[in-house]
Amino acid sequence: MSRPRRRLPVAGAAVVAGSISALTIPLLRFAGVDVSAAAEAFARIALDVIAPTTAAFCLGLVAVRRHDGDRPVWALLAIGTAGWAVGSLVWAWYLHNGEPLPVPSPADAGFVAFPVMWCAALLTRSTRGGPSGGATLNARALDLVDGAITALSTLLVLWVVASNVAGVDQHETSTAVTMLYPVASTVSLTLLFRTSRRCSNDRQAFSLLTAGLVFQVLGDLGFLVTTHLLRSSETVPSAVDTAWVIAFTLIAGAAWVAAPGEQPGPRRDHRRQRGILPIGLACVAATAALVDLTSTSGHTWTVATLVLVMLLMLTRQTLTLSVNRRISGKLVTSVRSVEREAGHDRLTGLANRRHLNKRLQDLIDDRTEQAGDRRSPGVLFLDIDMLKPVNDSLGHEMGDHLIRVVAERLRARWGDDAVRFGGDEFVVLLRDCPSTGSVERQAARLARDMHEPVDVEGTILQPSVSVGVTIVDDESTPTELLRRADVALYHAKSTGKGCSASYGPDIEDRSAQRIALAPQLRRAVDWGELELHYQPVVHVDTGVVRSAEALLRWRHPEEGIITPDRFLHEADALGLLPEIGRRSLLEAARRFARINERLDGPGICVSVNLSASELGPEIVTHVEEALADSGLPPELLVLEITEDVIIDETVRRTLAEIRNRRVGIAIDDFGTGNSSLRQLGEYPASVLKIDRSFVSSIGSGEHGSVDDSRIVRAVTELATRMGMATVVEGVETPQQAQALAALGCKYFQGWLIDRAVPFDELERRWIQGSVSSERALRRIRNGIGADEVSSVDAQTRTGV
Amino acid sequence: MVAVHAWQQNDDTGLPLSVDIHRQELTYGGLLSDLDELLGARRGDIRLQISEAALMDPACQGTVEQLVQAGYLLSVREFGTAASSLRRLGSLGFPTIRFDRSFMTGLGGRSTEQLVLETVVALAAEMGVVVGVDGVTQQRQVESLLDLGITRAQGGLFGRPTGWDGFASRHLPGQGREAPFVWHPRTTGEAERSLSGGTS
Repeated sequence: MSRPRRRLPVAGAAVVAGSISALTIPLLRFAGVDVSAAAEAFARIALDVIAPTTAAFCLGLVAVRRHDGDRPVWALLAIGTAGWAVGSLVWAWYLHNGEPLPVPSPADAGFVAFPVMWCAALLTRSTRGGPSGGATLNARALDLVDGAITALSTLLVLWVVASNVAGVDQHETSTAVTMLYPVASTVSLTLLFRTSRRCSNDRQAFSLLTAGLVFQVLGDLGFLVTTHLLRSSETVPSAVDTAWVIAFTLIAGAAWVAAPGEQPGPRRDHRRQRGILPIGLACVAATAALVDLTSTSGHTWTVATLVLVMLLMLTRQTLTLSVNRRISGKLVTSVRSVEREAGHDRLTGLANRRHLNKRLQDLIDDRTEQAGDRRSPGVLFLDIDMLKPVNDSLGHEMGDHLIRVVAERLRARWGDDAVRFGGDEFVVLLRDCPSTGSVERQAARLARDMHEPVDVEGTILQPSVSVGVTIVDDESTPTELLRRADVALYHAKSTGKGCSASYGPDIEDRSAQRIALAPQLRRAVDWGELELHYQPVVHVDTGVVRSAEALLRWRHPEEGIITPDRFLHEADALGLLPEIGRRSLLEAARRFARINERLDGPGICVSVNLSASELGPEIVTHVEEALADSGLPPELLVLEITEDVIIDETVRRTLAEIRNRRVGIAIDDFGTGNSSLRQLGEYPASVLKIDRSFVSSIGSGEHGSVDDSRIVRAVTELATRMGMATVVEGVETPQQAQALAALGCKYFQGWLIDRAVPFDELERRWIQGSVSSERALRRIRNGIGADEVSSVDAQTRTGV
Repeated sequence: MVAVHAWQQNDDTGLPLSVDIHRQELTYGGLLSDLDELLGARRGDIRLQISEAALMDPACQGTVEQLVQAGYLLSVREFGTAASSLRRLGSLGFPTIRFDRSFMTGLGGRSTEQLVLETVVALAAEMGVVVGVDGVTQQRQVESLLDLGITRAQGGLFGRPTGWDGFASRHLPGQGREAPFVWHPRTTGEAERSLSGGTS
C-alpha cells in the first residue's frame, strides 16, 4: 500500500479556500478595482455551489473506489453533501430570478438532507465492527440517547437565546427552520465523535471530517445569529460563507485522504470520555433554561424540554452503568481464572505444585495438633508407567490423553488433594486416614484400579501407575516427605510396574545403593565392564547346540559378576540401554560370525535380548550395522522380545522390517505376560520361548502341573503348526527334560545343559572343532554328574 | 430376573441360563450376596459369563474365586483376545469358554484363528472344558465348527436376542408350536444336529 496521505495539505487548502472566500473582494476593492454588488453576489453564490459539489464529488469517488465495509458510509456522506449542493443551487436559482424564498423553501429540503444523511452514515459506521469490535446493542442505544440529548439541549439553548435575547416571536417559522440546521449539525458532530472513538480506522480522514463539521456548525450558527437573531443582514454575510467554504474544503480533503483505502488505526481502549459534548450541552441547556425560567414567567415547553433532557441523561447514566458493571464482571472473572490457572495445571485441571509445600506443611501441622486423635496422614507419589512408549508410538496427543485419564481418576477419588507434580508425576495428600495400614491399602487399591482400560478414539489404553507411599511422622518436613515418597516410588517401579511400595529403612538402603550404582554404571559402559555370557540351547534328541542366548553381565571390580536384574532398570532410567544393546549386538554378531566360519553344517544361532525401550526404529540400523560389521548370516541372528512389549502398528512395522532382513524374532517368557492367543499369529516371530514357570511346575508334580503340561504340549503344537520353533527355558533336572521331551518339546535351555558362561568357556566346552553333542545327551539322560557339580557355582540364575 | 424364575420352573429344559457379569461388577465386593439374593440358591443352574480380560485382571480375581467356590458355573467369553487364560482354566471348576466373535472371520484354511481353535479344542477336551463360539453368521462357519468338534454356537444365524416370551416360544420345547432346537429364521438340518450334541 502506498504511503498514507497526510492532513497538512488539506489544512493548507482549507486556509487558502477560506482566504479566497473572505478576502478576494475586499482586496480587489482595496486595490481599487470596482466590483459591482451583482458580481460579488454571483461570485459568492458560485463558491457556495462549487464547494459542496466538489466535496460531494470527492466523497462519491471514495464510495466508488473503496470496497471495504465503510463503502456505504462514504456513499451516505456523499449523498448528504450533494443534497447541500442541490440546496445551494436552488437558492441560487431563486436569487437569480429575484423571487423571494418561501419558508420553508425547496432549498431547505436539500440543505436538511446534509445533516440527516450524515447522521445515517455515522450510525451505519458505528454498527460496523472495527478492529476494536463492533458496537453492542447497548452502545447503539447510547448513540441515540446522546444524539437526542444534543438535539434537545442545542434546541433549548438556541430557543432561549432567540426568544429572550433577540426577542424572536416563537411563532416565526423562518427562525425555527433556520434553527434546525445548527441543531442537526451538532447531532451529526456528536455521532461523529462517538464513532471515531469506537472505530479508529481512517483516523486522519475522520478528524478532517470532524473539523469540517465544526466549521459547518459555526457557519449554521453564524447564519442563524446574523440573519435571524441580530437581523444585521438580510443576505448571507461573507464570514458565514467562508465558514461553509472551509467546511466543504475540509470534507473534500477528508475524501482525498480516505480515497486510497482503509488505514488501520491504533487500538483504542474504551476509557476515554465520549459523553463530554452531550453532557456539556445539557449543562448549558439547563443553565439557559434556569435563566429563562427565573427571568421570565417561563414557557411550559422550556420546562418540558428540560425534563426530557434530564430523563435522557438518566437513561444515559443507567446505560453506562450497566456497561461498566459488565466490564467489571468480566474483569473479576478473568482475574479469578488467572488466579486459578496459576495454581492449577492446564492439561489436567488438577492443582499444580505451586502451593504443594505449604499444603504438605499443613498436613504435618494437622497431625501434630491432633496428636491424640491417632490419625495418620500419608502422601502418595505416583507416576504413569510406560508413558514414553505411548508417546513414541501412539503420539504425544495420546500420551496427553493418558495423563488426563489418570488425573481424572485421581480427581474423582481425592478431588483437590490430587496434585500434578509435573510430567507424568502426581502427588496425593491423604488427610483422613485412620491408620498406616489404611494408607497402604488405599495406595494398593489405587494402583490396582488404575488398570481399568479406557477407549480413547478407538485405541484401548490401559493406564498403569506405580505408587510410592510415605506416612507423615514427627520428623516430617515437606521436602523429606516428597523425597521419601519418591524413593518408595522408585522401589515400586523397580519391583514391577503397576504396584505400590511403602517407604521404610530397607528401601532407604536400597535407594542409597542405587544412587551409588548410577555413576558406576556409566563408568561400566565406558570402560567395557559389561560383557556377554552365553547359554547354549540344545536339541533334545541329538544333543547338538543349535543356538546360544547372549545374556548381559556386569563384571564389577568389587562385587564380581552382577546379573541384569540388579542394574537393567537403572540403566534404562539413565538412558544407557540403546547403547548397551547396540554393543551387545555388535559383539554377539562378531563372535558367532567367527565360529560359524569354522563350522560346517547348519550353524549356530545367537539370540540377543531387547527391552521395550530399545525397540524404536533405530534398532533396524543397529541390526544392519552388526550384520555388516561381522558378516554373520542374518538367519543366524535372533532378537528376543518379551510379550510385555506393546505390539502396536509402529512396533509391528519395526519387527516386520527385521524379519524382512531374515533376522529371527523370539518371544521370550511366553505364557506370563499380556499376549493373547490371537496375537500369537500377529507377531512376526520365528521362535517361542516357553516360560520357566511352566517347566518348574512340570517337574515338581505340584497342583496344576497336569494342566501345565497339557498347555505346554498344546502351545508347542500350535507354535510348530504356525511355523515357529519352541524353546523351553529353565530346564534343571533330567525328569523335567524327559517330561518335556514327551510333550513334544525339542529345544532345551537351562542349568541341566549349562549356565551362561563367558564366550571362551562356551567355545571350549561346546564348540571344540565340531559341535559337541555327547556332553549334552549325557546330561539330559543322567543329570549333572557328581564331578561337574562344582562347576555350577553359587552364581545367580540365568535369565533376564 | 423374571426370566430366571420362568427358566427354573421349566425344569425339564436341562439348560443352564447364562448371565453376563462385567468387570465393574467383579471389582465391586458384594457381587456374590447380590447374586444369591436375585437368583435363588440354584447356583449350579446359572452360568456366569466373564470376559477373558476381566478374568485375568488381578483386581477381579478375589471375586472370581469366591464365585467358583460358591458353585456357580463360569463361562469365559471373548476367549483368545486378552492375556492368555489357559493356565487359569483348571482352577475355575468346570468352566466353558466361548471364543470371541473375531475368530469366526478366519475360520477354515490354515489361518491363525483356525490353528488356535484346533489347539484349544484339543486342549479343552483333555481339561474337561466345554468350548463354544460367538458370532456365527454363516452356514459355512457351522460346517467348519462341526469339523473342529465345536458343538455350541451362538450368533445371528440361530437367533437374535429376544425377550423371554419370544425366546421360549421359539427355542424351548413344549412352549411353542415348534419342535425343540428349531432355529429361526434360517433353519438347517446341520445346525440342528450340531446343537443336539455329538461331534461329527
